[in-house]
Amino acid sequence: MDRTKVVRWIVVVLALGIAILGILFYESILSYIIISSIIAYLIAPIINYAQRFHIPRTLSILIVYIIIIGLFTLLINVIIPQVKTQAEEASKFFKEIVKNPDAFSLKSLGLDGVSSFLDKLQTRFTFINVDEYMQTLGQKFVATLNQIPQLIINSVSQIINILAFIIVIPFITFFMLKDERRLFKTFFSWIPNRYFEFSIYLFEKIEESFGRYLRSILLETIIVTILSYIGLLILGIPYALTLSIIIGLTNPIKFFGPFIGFVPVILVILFSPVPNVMLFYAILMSLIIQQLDSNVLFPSLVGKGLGMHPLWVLLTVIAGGYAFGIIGLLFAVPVVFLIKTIVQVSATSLKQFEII
Amino acid sequence: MKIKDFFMPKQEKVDEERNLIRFLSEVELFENLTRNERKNLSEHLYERKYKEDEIVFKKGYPNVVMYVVKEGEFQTFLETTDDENLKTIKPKEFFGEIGLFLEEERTATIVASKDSVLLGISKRDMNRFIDEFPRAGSKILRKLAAVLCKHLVNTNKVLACKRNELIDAQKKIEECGNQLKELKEISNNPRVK
Repeated sequence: MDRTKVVRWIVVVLALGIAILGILFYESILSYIIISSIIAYLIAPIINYAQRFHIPRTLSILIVYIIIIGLFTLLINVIIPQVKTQAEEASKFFKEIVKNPDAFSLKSLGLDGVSSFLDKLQTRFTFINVDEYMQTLGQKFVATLNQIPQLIINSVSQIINILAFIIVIPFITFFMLKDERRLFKTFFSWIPNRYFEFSIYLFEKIEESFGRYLRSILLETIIVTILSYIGLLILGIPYALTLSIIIGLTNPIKFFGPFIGFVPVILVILFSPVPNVMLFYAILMSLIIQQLDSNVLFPSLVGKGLGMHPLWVLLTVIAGGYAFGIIGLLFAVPVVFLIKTIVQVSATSLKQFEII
Repeated sequence: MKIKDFFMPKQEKVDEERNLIRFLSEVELFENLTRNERKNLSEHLYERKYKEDEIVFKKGYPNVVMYVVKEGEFQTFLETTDDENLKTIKPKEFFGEIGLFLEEERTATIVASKDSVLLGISKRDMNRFIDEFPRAGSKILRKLAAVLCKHLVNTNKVLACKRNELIDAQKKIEECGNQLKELKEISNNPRVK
């Protein structure tokens, strides 16, 4: 082999080694950087927009920070106590119900019609015991509910970590926003001339589709939360705020999200003094919001959509749920979509740029 | 390390930036921009160094980046680099501007004929800059239109010239043909003999 070639290979191997060592060394703060860059990415349009009016970046970032801090204090002082009391009330409420031995029978849920129908059914098919089934289901539900305080305590024990999070992430985000252009310049200056145009092309294409997706998901969550809150308030269902936040947060989960988010609503309606007819109206409301979301909001925000077959999306959600739980449910589709975009864009453009 | 270091860029960087902004004022396309506008534009520019004979892009590549020549010299080829050099691009001139308006592929191959420096701006960043700073954007677009018009006028002149040459050539061919005919007639006419 040529001597320069050997030297080049040695350099490549050394560079890879350094890169791996670097990643291992900075591993613990990698999550900080990823989270900061996502936050910076979401805030960046505001800062860029402010720059049009000759507002210095540092100033506009500080203003946005102040607004975010204000929102957080509002969240902590107004919304969280409300959610907390509502959750506590709900928990107490369900505990009371469990004390009643006949708690989860259909009769006590007020579904007399269904109950009598099932009674008839049971006389014919004795192996069906709906009441018993409901009982175990209810007990399981309450057991999970009781675990929630423990869960909160566990997460509080990581408070020091969270504190570091709270201080470090805004700090990183600040510099990412302030020196956005310089970071890009530095990054692209590392890329050899041969791949310069290709990398810019790839970066822009991915930003175009994935970035838009990310931003619109956030907006969608907020809009759906507000709409459900209004709907639940109109229907007069208790714990409207908590329930609508759950609906909003589960909404981005494809296919299953709306159903998962709606389970607490059903339970609350069945167990609270609210007439059971409200269940029908609540389902109607949820259907209207879902239709609005999938037919108006999502197309206008995300545009062409994911370009993934519905079956593929479904399987991705299920796989994500199995592998990483709730986080997996939420992030499986975006991550797979990101990888799909990278592969798709590079497959066509690598050929166009004659790299392969 | 001082806190100041976090917020203030290094002196060399500041000088570099200042030089870049000054250079932009000498480029025809950006000469009408104010200092502040040029500063904002310069944030989008990528400085690229090319060695002699290095290819910037080839015909058929997607249109992604527009370049302004900072130093050095570039040659344009229609097909391969073995062809005739169509045009030499000198400092303060630019290329790749077609991509700003048309979704077409690169129409020529550009090769550095000596060690050179280019300032690249991505098509998307340029469009965004024009949208974000409409006043500066209209100045750039007007200049660009003027430059393109100039190209068009020049091309028309060349075309007219070539057309005249073609017509002359045609006339000459006709004359030659006539002469040939006459000669043939003469040679066929036995009386002359």
